[in-house]
Amino acid sequence: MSHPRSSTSQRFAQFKLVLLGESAVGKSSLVLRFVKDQFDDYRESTIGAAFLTQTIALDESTTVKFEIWDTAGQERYKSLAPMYYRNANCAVVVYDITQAASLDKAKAWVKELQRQANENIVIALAGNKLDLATAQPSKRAVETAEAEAYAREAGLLFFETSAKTAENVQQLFTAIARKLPLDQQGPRGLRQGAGGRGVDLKGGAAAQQQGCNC
Amino acid sequence: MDEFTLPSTEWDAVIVGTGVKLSLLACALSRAKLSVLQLDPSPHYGSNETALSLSELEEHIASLSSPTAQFKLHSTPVHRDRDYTFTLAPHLIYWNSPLLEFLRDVKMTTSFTWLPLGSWWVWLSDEAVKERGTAKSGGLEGAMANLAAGAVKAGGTVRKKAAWNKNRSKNSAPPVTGALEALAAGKPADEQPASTWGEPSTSTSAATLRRHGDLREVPCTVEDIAWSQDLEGQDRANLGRFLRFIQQSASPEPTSGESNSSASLLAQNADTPLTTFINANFPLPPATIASIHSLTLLPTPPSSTPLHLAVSRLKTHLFSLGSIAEIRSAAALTLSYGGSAELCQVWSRGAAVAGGINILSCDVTPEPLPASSSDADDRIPLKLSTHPSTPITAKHLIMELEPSSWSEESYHAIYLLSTQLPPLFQKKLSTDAVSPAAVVVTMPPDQDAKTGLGNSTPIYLQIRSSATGECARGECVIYAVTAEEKERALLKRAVEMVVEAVDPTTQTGKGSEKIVMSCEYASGDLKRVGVMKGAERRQGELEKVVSEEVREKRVVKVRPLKRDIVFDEGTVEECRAVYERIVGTREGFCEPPPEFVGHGEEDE
Ligand SMILES: Nc1nc2c(ncn2[C@@H]2O[C@H](COP(=O)(O)OP(=O)(O)O)[C@@H](O)[C@H]2O)c(=O)[nH]1
Ligand SMILES: [Mg+2]
Repeated sequence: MSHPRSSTSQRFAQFKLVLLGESAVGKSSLVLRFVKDQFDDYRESTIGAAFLTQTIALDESTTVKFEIWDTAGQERYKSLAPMYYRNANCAVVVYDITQAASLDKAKAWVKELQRQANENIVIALAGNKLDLATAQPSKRAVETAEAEAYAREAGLLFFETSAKTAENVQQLFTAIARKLPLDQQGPRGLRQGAGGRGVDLKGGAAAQQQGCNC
Repeated sequence: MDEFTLPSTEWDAVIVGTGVKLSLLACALSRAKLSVLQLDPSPHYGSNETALSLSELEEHIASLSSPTAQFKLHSTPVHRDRDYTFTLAPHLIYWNSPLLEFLRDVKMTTSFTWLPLGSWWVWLSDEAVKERGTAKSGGLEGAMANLAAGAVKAGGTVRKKAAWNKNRSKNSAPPVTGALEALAAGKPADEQPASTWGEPSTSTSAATLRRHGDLREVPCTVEDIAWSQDLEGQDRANLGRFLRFIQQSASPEPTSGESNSSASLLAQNADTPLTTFINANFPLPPATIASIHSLTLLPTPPSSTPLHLAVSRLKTHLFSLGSIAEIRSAAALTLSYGGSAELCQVWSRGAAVAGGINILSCDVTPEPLPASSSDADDRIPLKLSTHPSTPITAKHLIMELEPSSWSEESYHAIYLLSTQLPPLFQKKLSTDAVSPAAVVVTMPPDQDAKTGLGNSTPIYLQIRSSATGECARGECVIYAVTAEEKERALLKRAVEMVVEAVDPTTQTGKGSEKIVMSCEYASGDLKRVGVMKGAERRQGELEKVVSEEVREKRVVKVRPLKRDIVFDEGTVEECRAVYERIVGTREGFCEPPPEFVGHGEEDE
């Protein structure tokens, strides 16, 4: 499903994007804002969505489709499996600008990604719940400049966002899309693995061949 | 470990372990809206079906604390630790398997990358191929078969001859059966229609059997048999007849009311050793028997493999062959990134997506609740190692059977090679759209040490290319297994022999230079780690804490997954039965609730 399709006039590429960060910083909320343009103050972490997809048109001829994986709450119990960030082309590492400790956790995730994930993974750091600091500056626990300096040093994209007001959410994902390698070979390190073409088990002639053919 | 609070102290199901079966149950029960807590004392998913990076594998082998479990780096790997995914469960999954059918039903096939397992290879020297059995019936049988009665006699006994004739004239044979019959009747090879058993391929795709030194492709399709240079006319006919016997023995009873003579021949000989049976009915040279037997992947040599086991495996193989649209030459698939280890991760995550909770590095002990607590009743009181001060209760406790119930031992080895052995991964048929990502090589029993290996039971090597994502480009991973403890030492030599035969850059005697990492363990060693480690103790605690009655009702134990090369096909059925016991119905097993979005299938 992750084959890049490209033709001379239209470029279309699909990328796996994962969210990481401490529990309750707003990862699921950012996804919901981006994919469905919704926000719910009271919702618990998304249940029932293994991943969602969203497409961004970068220009008339270039479309990027994100396959967005949410943690399903596994981060809370330190139980994210390698399959989660394996082959991710990009990651959004989220912290809550009103919780200083959440930036430390974000830094740990960045380190983990740089050690375990694709070598050319695009990582964005998102300081979420910007609306809270805008409404009440005293709530801010992480200074913009501090996070920005860290992001620059670690080679990350950086945005302060609000899933609640939608501020910078679209910008965050667009910036990632622009930074992804859209060369003619398509993105590297896709889920299909190291160049192995898989067998399609989904419907089609293949699925109907089940059973004895003699 | 920092504390995190659990959302509840009362659970419908606490599952101890993250192996294949327990992960499937976690997913199915969560999807059925039960509250599910799935734990594993180990930091990895998969329990004894886990997948590990290079350094994790080293740690894991050390944690087995067994003198026979060894991990050895022979040279420095050039890639990063995470570029490796070694698995304790490199299973192959036949196209005609209950697992695939199930995954299609619950729309989960796209959660995985399916790769084809390509050709099957067997090590046979020229000398071994030339050898003919001492059975004097060979020549006689051959002469008789050539009297055009061959196909009719395929059922074996003269007694049944009339019945076979009758059947045959009534039912017009499907094309493939026709081809097998023609073969069985000893017609020359060039008259054979080119077709595989499952699905006729185009005639242009007829391929000769490949070989690399003494490593030969196993003939298993009609065209393979027709074209094999290792078979003489009569062998060809008898092999055709034997395959037809397998095919016939699977068919339902003929409508005419006559009994199926292949089925009854099989029933009469269910426990007859494969070699004895073949020699009595379709005499074949020992090398041909070895090569047919290699498709069974059974641990015993052909001379002691009961016919019914062999036929059952061969049926699955032959009926799966030719069904995969992209690669007609393949019969089985495997999952990239660690085979069945991937099932564990996807299903455990499936449980979380459905609202369940998985916690790694967490052990559980049955422990009486404080006297103040009121809800003991018939719930099972438990203590988590991560939350010692917050006792929980489970309506159902699901775990694996204690290790003492493990019977058959097998001896495993994993090798990382600095060569990719490209000739093994080439497409077999011109019509194949994808290349195999894994192949099976069998070193058949070689008691008179003709090959120099001298093994008494078959040694199986599964070779996986970097297309599996389990190693880097330019490398391959080999999983080796034997059922004989004393022959563990031969596994490495078998790998070297294959490398020397296949890899153009390796000279004879230099095969070991290509081995970057080797590791060994016995199935029994696995009792010493993870969930299994505490199993007996947990069982003892359980007996102290809850009555036998409650244990009977509330504690469910699944059998450990078979440590077989083929995926344990009892898995889905066993999990369905457990599900029924807990939920009360088999309906809806693991089906995604309607409100689910993007649970694996593309919405396009
Ligand atoms: N004010 C505000 N609250 C937010 C924002 N994003 C998320 N939240 C709230 O933070 C809590 C946790 O959000 P969630 O998306 O579940 O976090 P996750 O655990 O990281 O997935 C929820 O109550 C959300 O409503 C935001 O941008 N602003
Ligand atoms: Mg969430």
